[in-house]
Amino acid sequence: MREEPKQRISERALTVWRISGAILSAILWIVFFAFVAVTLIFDWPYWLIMIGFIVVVVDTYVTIFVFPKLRWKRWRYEVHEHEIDIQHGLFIVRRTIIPMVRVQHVDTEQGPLLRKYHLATVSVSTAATTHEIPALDVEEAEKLRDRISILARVVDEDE
Amino acid sequence: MNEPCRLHPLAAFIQFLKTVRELILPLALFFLFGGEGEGKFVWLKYAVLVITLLGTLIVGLFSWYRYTYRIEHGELRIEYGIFVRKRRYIPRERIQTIHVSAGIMQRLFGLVKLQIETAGGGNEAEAVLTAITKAEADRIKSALFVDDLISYEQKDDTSLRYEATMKELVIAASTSGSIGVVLSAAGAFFSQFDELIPYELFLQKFQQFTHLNIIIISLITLFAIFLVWFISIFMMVAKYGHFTVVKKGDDLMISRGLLEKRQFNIPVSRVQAIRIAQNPLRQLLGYAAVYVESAGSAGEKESNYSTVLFPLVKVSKINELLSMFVPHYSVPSSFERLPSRALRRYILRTVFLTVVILFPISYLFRPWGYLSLLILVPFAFLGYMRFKDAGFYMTDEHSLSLRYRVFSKMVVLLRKKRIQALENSQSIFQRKQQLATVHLSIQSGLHSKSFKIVDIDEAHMDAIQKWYRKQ
Repeated sequence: MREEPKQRISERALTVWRISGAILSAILWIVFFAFVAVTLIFDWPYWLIMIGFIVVVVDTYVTIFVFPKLRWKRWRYEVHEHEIDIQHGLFIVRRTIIPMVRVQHVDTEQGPLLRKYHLATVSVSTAATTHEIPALDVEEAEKLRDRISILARVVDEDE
Repeated sequence: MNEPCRLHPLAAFIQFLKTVRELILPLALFFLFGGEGEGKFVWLKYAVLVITLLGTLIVGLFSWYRYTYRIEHGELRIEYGIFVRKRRYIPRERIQTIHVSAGIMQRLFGLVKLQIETAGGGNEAEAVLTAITKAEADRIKSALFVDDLISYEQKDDTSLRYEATMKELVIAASTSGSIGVVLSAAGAFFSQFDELIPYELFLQKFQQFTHLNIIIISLITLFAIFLVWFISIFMMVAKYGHFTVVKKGDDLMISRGLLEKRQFNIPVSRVQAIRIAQNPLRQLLGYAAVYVESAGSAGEKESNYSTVLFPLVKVSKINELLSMFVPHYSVPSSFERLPSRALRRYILRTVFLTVVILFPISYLFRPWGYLSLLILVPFAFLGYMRFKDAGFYMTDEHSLSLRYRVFSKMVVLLRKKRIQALENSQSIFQRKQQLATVHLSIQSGLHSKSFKIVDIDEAHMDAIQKWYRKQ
């Protein structure tokens, strides 16, 4: 296999992912408490609560602490003169190559969470697909967007 | 052609029918639930009906009267709208396709419908001339496509032509999987009316009458299946009857249909990939269907912008036909296959779900339940076939072919220029065995389509990457 792309995304992505993981877990906890209430009302066996509790605790730990770290470690990208090289994925590692001649447009975008941490997502669109590089420092994201947009201006010569 | 023209008056009537069709449901509701209508108010209901219909007809007539088109300064200019005048100008350069078709109404009057599509826009065509004469359609076509016409004449005077034979169409129809579609449609239809039609009553009467036994039931079922099969064959033949492909200059002009004739053009430059499909039955007979994947056009909405190029051809003739109609595309004679260590993963994948479902069942109904595990054999065989058929081949610097099987065997012919992105993915288990999955995305219609080969050798993966990165 080719060597990994060099650039990493911002370390603040970790914080953002942990926060969104925490929000997801909070929802799961609400569901869990509702489940506990139902179990008590209908007198279902208590071991159901135990199992549910373990599941929710494990999920919370994993989505807040384990997955963001793994994801961040895996996330790499590199913008070459002729192509964009992206690698990401938790259990399945995905490696994407987008030739510059195929790039149609580049966007940067920010949700409220990203804005708070001064981050932005760059998304690259071809005629068929869209690829995101999430959570880059805003200045870096803008620089990258401009760079890709200039590099993508190459004329696609005919066969 | 600078004079504003109107459509054939039939357009007004078609518009009227269309509106009535949309009004049927509200009107039916109104009649069903609009109250009983006491005595002298009964006529009120009918008055509403008559006024609605009359109003629709008048609106149809007016909008036909106000709808004009003309060709001026190389633009198609359409003006329409009864109260608010709207103008739409479409420059010739922006026109992507001109699509001529004839519905049953148009056919009765020897007219055609002309749709003009530009690159942008959603599903609707940018301009629809509902009913015009054939000569007029030709005139518009040539007026808007002047440049192309000249180049046709210069380039070649002998345009290429392919016509599907009736024999091919019948074989295509009888070996297609569309019987399943018809069966499920029939099923859906009858289940809809489950509550209206007292099937059980019928069945009881029938039972008393014939003392229904198993032989009769199975005979009737068999007959029903044959009937459905014939209907599906007939439908396919009606749909693909008179199937012709003509290559004029750089355009592929495909027309088909016995009852309703459809015609559409695909410029060769917008072909994104060629797909060749063979279901097991057709594979046995040595036939295949060939599809074109093309970019951005609302012309053919069915099956995701995969347009049938050849409904059914002998496998041995495919390359010859392809070289005539879509040069640069050809099926390689051999494929780079998967490493044998991928076989286990292929069989496991097809068998896995069945095992999960079957094991509890066979355990519950033991000892005979274990017999149900025999079903695993065909599934394992399918897994083996999928492994055997999966592969790829890089013919030259520009061409990559993929081969894989879901249930039907597929061969996809791709050009480097048309591949929008290359992705490879690797799960933890794949990495242990140095296998990877390759995904190739192309543009299809206004969206994308991606083809993949699972579990190819890491070294092969690298070779494909290298091929793709080389400019």
